[in-house]
Amino acid sequence: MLVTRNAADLCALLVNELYGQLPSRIVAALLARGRSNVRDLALHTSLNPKQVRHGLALAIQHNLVFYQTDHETATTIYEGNPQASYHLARVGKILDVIDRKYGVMAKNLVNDLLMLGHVEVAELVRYHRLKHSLKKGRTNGEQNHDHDHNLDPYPYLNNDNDFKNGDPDDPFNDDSHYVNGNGTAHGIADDVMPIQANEVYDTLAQLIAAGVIESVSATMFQSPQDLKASVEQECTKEFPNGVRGAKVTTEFDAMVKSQIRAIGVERTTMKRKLQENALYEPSNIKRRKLANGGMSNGFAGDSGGSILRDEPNTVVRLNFDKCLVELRNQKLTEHAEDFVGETTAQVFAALLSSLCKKVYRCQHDQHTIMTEEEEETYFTGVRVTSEEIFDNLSPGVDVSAGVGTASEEDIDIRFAEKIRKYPPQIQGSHLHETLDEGDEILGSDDEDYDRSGEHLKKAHANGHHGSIAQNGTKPSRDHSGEGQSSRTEQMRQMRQHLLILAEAKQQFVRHCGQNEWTVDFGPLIQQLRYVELDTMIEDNFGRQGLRLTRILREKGKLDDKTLPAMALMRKPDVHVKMAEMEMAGFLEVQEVPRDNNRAANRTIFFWFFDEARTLKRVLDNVYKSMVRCLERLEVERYNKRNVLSLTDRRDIQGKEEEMLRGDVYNEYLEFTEIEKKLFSQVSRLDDLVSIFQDF
Amino acid sequence: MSGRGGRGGRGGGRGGSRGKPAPPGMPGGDDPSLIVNDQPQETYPKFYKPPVAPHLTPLEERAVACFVKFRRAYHNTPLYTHRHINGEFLSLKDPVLPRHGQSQINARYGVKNRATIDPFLSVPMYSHRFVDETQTLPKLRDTRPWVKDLFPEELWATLDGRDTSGPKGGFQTKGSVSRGTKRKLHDDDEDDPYVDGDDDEEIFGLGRSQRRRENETEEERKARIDGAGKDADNEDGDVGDPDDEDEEEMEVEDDDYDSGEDDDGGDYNAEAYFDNGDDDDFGDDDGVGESAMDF
Repeated sequence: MLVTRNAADLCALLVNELYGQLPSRIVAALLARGRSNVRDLALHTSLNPKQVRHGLALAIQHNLVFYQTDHETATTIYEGNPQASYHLARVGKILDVIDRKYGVMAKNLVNDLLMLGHVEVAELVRYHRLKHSLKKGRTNGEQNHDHDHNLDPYPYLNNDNDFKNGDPDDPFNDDSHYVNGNGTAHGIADDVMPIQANEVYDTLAQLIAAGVIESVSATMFQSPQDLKASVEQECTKEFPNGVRGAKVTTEFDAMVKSQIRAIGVERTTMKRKLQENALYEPSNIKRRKLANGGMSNGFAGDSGGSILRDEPNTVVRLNFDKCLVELRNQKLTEHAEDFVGETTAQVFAALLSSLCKKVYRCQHDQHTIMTEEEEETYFTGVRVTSEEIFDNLSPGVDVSAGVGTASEEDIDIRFAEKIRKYPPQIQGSHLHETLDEGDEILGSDDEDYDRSGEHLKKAHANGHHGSIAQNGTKPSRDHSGEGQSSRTEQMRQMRQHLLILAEAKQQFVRHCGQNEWTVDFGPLIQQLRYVELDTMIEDNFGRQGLRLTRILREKGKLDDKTLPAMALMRKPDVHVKMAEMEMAGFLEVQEVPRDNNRAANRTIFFWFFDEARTLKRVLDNVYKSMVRCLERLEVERYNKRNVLSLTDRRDIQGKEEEMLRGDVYNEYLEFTEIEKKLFSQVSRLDDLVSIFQDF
Repeated sequence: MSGRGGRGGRGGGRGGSRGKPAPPGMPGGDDPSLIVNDQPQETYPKFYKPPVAPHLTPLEERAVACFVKFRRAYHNTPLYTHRHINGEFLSLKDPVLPRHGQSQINARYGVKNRATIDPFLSVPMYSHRFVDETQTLPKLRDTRPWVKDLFPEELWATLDGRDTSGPKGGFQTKGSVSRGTKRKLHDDDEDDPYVDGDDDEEIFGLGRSQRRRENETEEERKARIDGAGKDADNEDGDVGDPDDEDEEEMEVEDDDYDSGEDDDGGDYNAEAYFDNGDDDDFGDDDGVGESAMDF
């Protein structure tokens, strides 16, 4: 993340919005000043050292800063982590996506983690149970007021029998009933049964295995660059003669690399331990979910939770990288829905979710610390079989819908089922393109095709047409008797959807082997980027501007004589448009004089579209817009400060509707409406940022 | 999204039908048929109709609800530090002010001490029990167990609530040793009797500032002098008495002033108010808070 001034402002505002003013000032100062120690920070923010230390402690707790202690001088240097601060803009989306994918309890756990920062497992579970059962204790009435002072972790055990009476709106309850339209579902899920520790441990283990929650080690608080530097320092000790010469250098590099890998392995120990536990294969989790409606304790006492129980001191925190992967899946599904269709998009979602069990991050750079296994999946890509996708498909999806029928003769099965072994090249502007050897391989995609499609088709021809009618209800997914045949049929239909996805212009899916599928995220996201960029250019400069930029993107640099001919536009029109876009920073021009005196008529002007530069500029603008939204919110708060000072009162919070006078309540609603709009605008802008930068 | 002021491109503007031939140097300037409107662009378009954002999708609605809910939950924890803006900025029309330079930014933030509380609202009232007090420091102590290994050593005392607000806080292990040697080094040119008590709250300001000056580098000194010249009030510039006073104010601010039911913070004790009010403050130096509140 490139920290421009707008980005820094945004980070500070986001921290201010959620975690309060003190950490926000610290983060702002760190981003403005770079690495500093407590004294510098105190000097810079005109806070006293005590306040600075409190703010820093809070920021470290929420992983907003990196630090490094020099053991010889005992000084600690702090450094801002802009990415982590920026992630706060996505809190809402992340909670929502976790809710849908992993269930309510998982969402509550993630919510708690965001509240607590990094925390020991035992403490997290204790907090979770206290927090989410407190509500029940309270809904019984006003008698049990002392429950929040009561640190006994089992207060709810006594009184969860009559939790349904009493009013559901509790002033101390942060499950704000009126704000959260979805909150009722949450309440019901919680009310059905008391939260068992096993259950919590179980969900937690599942989340850790999935990578959403990661265990924390001390090295995570060093910035990746620092970590690398310190590893390198360690390694130089092994070479007393200094690192000189090609051979020694390669040795040294290998050593550094292996040490960094070791750190990566150490970080994921817990995750792997839980993954090896077969019960945490996500397909099993899925079944469990299907079996009894929600993430319930059907498998109480299973060993994933008990592994965690044995190590209550493991410190965990939320892993935003994995959350980003989930958000990316969501975005891609939406994209597919726009271009292909709803049912197909749901099949695509199933494919993505089974594919991304192994994908823990969207992007990496040279500082990212990965284990060997992760690196492998990153560079060679992961693939899934049709069966796995089918297992992941949500039972509500009717795969028979959304595909047209064509007669057998119309389909060229060799082409339709063609296997593409190699990923397509990333489509980009031609500025930085080099021709490398890989290009030839791409051409030589052999004429192999997937024969399993034929078998399935034959089975289809043998007469299972009747089963299509039944598919609407999806009677069973088990492997017994009749179910088997309908499963084959459904599988065949699902394959049709996958083939559509593979054949689409966007190439959502690549058919990469016999019954195997993969997604090339790089090129796909690149396309998404162009879609967004094109929309933006079209909105700003009209269709003609869009046409010109697309031509330039296709052709690279063009001089101003060829361009009008190619765009089929009048020359003056082209010039006006180009000048306009250049001023807005979407296009660049390069002058190449034909002789020494650089006269305009002896100069060739080349127009070009520099994608990287444009993206940076657009991103900065997006950050600025987000800052404006948040500042606007501040102004709105100021305008409605009388109302807000009322609604912030502890006896009113959560039950505004009953407590407030009519006109005041209306004003409050007005404000929440404005707030909602502003936040949604921020989150839409964040979608842009994600696409342009983070996915 | 198209800001004005790109990379110094000439010409441009909308329309382009009227105007002059292109100036020399412009791409395509040799073409006589090219007419460029060289009037400056209007600062604001005449008809500015910003596109109206579409309504929230259910997905967005849920996400925003989650965000708001999480925010509210966090704001009720003892770790949240309230937004606290300087009173004089709040009374202005636009609460979002230009922020040019660090000193302006710092000046925006309010200081919570006895001098800045509103005398009309600070008398304890029944409704205060429902209003969260403006928190300027997170309550780290006893809120929850901290995993100290993951914090740098110098923050451990802070987490325990033993932060003594000196430059080193409660961090005593290595820091105090190195400080001792440093002091020995400079012993000859500094015989300030208070320097030993630098961890004491009453007199830490003087000792600290002097010692700080010693081990600062040349650049730092320059920066300090510059900073002090510009905004002696806001920057922690160590320019003698006013600054120390400032720091002491900040110290007071950290105290929970409502806990001042004891004699120290008694200036808002309603019963004692008129007893104390009529003797003047010239004689006693009861501290900054007392005199500042004299109205």
